[in-house]
Amino acid sequence: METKSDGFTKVTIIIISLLIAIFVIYPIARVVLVSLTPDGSFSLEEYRYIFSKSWLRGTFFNSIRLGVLVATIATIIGFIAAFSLYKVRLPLRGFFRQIVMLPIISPPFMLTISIILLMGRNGLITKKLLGITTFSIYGLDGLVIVQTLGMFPIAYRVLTGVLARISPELENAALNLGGDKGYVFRTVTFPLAIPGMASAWLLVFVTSVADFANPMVLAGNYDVLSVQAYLQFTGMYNLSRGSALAIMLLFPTLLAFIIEKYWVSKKSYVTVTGKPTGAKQDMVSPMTRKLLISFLVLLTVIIMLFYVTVIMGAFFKLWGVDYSLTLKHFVYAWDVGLESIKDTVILAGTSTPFTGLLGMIIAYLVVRKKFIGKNLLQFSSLLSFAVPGTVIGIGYVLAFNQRPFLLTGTATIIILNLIFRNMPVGIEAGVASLKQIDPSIEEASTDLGASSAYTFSKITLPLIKPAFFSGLSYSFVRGMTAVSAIIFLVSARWNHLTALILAETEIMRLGAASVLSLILIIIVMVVFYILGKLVGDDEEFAGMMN
Amino acid sequence: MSKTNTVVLKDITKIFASQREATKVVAVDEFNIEIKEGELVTLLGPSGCGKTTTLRMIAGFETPSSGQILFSGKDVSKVPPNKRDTAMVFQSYGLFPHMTVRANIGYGLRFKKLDKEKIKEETDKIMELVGLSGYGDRNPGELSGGQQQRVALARSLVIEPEVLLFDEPLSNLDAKLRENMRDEIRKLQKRLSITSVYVTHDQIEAMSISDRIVVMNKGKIEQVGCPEEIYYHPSNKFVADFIGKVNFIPGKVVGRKGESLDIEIEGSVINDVASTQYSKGKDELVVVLRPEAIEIKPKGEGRLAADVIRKTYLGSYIEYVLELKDKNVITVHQFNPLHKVSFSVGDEVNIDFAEKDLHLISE
Ligand SMILES: Nc1ncnc2c1ncn2[C@@H]1O[C@H](COP(=O)(O)OP(=O)(O)OP(=O)(O)O)[C@@H](O)[C@H]1O
Ligand SMILES: [Mg+2]
Repeated sequence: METKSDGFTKVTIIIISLLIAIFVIYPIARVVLVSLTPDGSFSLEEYRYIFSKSWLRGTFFNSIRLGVLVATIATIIGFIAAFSLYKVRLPLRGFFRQIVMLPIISPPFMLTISIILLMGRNGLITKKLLGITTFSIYGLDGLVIVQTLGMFPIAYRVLTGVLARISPELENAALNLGGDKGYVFRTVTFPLAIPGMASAWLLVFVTSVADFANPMVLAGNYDVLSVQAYLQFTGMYNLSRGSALAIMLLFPTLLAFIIEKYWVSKKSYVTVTGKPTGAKQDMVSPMTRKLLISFLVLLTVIIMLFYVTVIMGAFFKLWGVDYSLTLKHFVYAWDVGLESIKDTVILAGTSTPFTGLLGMIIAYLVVRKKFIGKNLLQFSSLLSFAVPGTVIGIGYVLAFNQRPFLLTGTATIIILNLIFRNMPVGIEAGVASLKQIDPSIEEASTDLGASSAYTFSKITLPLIKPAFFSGLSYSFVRGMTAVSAIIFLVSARWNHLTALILAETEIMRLGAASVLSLILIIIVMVVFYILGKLVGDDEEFAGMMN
Repeated sequence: MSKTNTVVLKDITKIFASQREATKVVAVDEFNIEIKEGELVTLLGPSGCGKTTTLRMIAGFETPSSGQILFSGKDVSKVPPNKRDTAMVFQSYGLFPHMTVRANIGYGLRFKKLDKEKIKEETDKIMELVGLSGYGDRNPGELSGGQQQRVALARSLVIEPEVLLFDEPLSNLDAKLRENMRDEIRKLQKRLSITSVYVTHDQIEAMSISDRIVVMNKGKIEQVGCPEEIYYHPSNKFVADFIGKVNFIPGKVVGRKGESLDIEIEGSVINDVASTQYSKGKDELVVVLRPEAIEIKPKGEGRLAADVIRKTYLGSYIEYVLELKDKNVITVHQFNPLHKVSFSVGDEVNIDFAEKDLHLISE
């Protein structure tokens, strides 16, 4: 139930709207503006130039092609994995579920380091095992492999949500009515999952097109928008061309995001069938089950191979040449990386609680309060999900390099960027859990005399604590692994670990890059564990809320 | 505590404008009532008739589109829900799952500027009263449905609100428990003499608990009255039909003698039907006759002839469905049927009733 807003709520809404206007909308507006005023006055010259040169024009289509390929393959893999793990009785389900989510918590281009170690010029597979030296992993193929592997968990997550919500009773009913298992899959399970697949596809597409770090290292001659925008902006100091390329990057991602939010997700009828439930009835034949198990095993082996490779990379002296064990990469990483590690933890750690709290407040306003401009607030707060980091990064540089917002080079700009980029994570988590809480719980509090601020802090917040902490964990991960926007904002004083790993990878110090990646993963896991412990005690009443 | 806790709703209208479609829903339409101190008034009506909306306007969760709400003579239309001295018992209870029973019950007292001691004292007293002593340290999740209901009730009672509001508080309980709780709520409400508004769509519940019943339909009041009035003297077909089983038989006025009428139904004239309304010739009337007011007699002994077309044994009574000469179908309840003459489907019978059991309404 939505209620009218009182004075306190109104002030909150105004403050939050202002923050979003300054830290989300304004930077993007600056990018648009700069791209349209190459010589200080309005003109479309920059876009005309980009479209007249085939090497620049090509980057656009390259990005799209990459996005389409990755989204398609990742959605298929994600669906098969989700279906196997939520609709089929399998051994080791819990183990597989963990493995499949692993890529989500890794630094974005760790898989790239791996693939270079495995199939690059000095690759373990290519050179050592097969003796090939002419093969090149750099380019579209390599990119598709690493992005698919890194991004299928996005599709998997969306689809598990959908599949788990298709009530087994529905499928049992269909079986009961005489359909065989294959028929039920084709006529019930699969059709119900189609909107979910569309969502998954679009989300992966957005992520792939917006990806910066993997193509930066692995694209070779396959130029994509995010990289080219960065090179133009930072390398050539061509601010307007960089901005124009960023805007071209913004178009497809924004479009995909809008289609997802306002069309596809409305088409989903799965949610009405009730609470998420596990498989009660096995939905496949024994033969299919064997195939699915083989598929999961293969997937697990590949993921493990990539991770083990990075671990090995950290300990071998000189990859491809000297496979003797050493700790020198650790020593080196310690020397160049300690400051960055500290910086990164401070930056991610500082931004995380703000991200979480802001996300929860916005979620609360959106779900429980009625006010003018609500849709706009909701849209713009989720916007930073859809806007590629490159655009935001450029936007922050353009927006905050002069008074009254002179922030470039400071920790503040990075923290603000992390907060507003990761805020949607907190919002989504908050919205989902608020919708589970019976509104009469909060109304009872108000009715008994509590103000809305009191109700929020004493009733709502404790009840959404589990979601709050999972939002926190996730935004911390994103803070630790962010790169595409951060790369524009790091400075000599404040560096980010991902920027350092990227730099080390580019100069082919893969051993050090591996070490730093591992350190990053370990920090993330430790924080996950601690936050998990903090939520642990609340399972009890979390069960009572639905 | 002696306040003159009256509640007055004056011309209350609530229109919901849905944002997507351009349609408007008139949820409550020109609603008027004065509720006296200590009185329990029930809002009764079919689903979607605006009961909850009315209640939520009293609590302050919804703002009336027009009209006034007065508590003890003061206009509270602008007062936010947390500053209104109301306490609502919700259908789903709305207990705070992360707080103990004691903390739940004491919650409203936190805003009354009482010290800890006093809060504990008051909470203990009320827990005793509703039979929750000993449960104080549990979480709501560890209570049965009926106990949760008691916590919700206690939490509202303890703040001694000006107005107590109930939105179908018993609908999540099983039949037996519902009856117990119903009687308990009524007992407590009377004892504490708290002005109350109670929403239900269960007519039996309404009958048993209320001082007065407001029968609503499509946002409008159809009738206000004490349970007997509503049952025996419904002012229109909707009310008569909504409350209990009822027979409608078309009739007309054929004569008037002072305060009584001669009515013709089914071709027979019934004399001495008390009524000050209606006059000869002009009005098409409907005669309201409750099933338990009719007696079935062997053919030739009663007022009207009828055929038995269905018979259902229902334990404490037998329900007969009869067809009268003019094809009007009526229901008759024969109570304590064990030693009475029983009739079978297909029998031709007569029915009889007392003039004073006839109630007249216009078509
Ligand atoms: N927030 C709202 N927005 C739009 N329409 C509403 C809203 N709340 C209620 N309505 C509409 O107002 C009418 C009255 O609703 P209300 O909840 O008061 O009914 P009710 O009598 O309590 O029904 P029930 O017995 O089913 O609880 C309904 O037609 C309902 O659809
Ligand atoms: Mg209702």
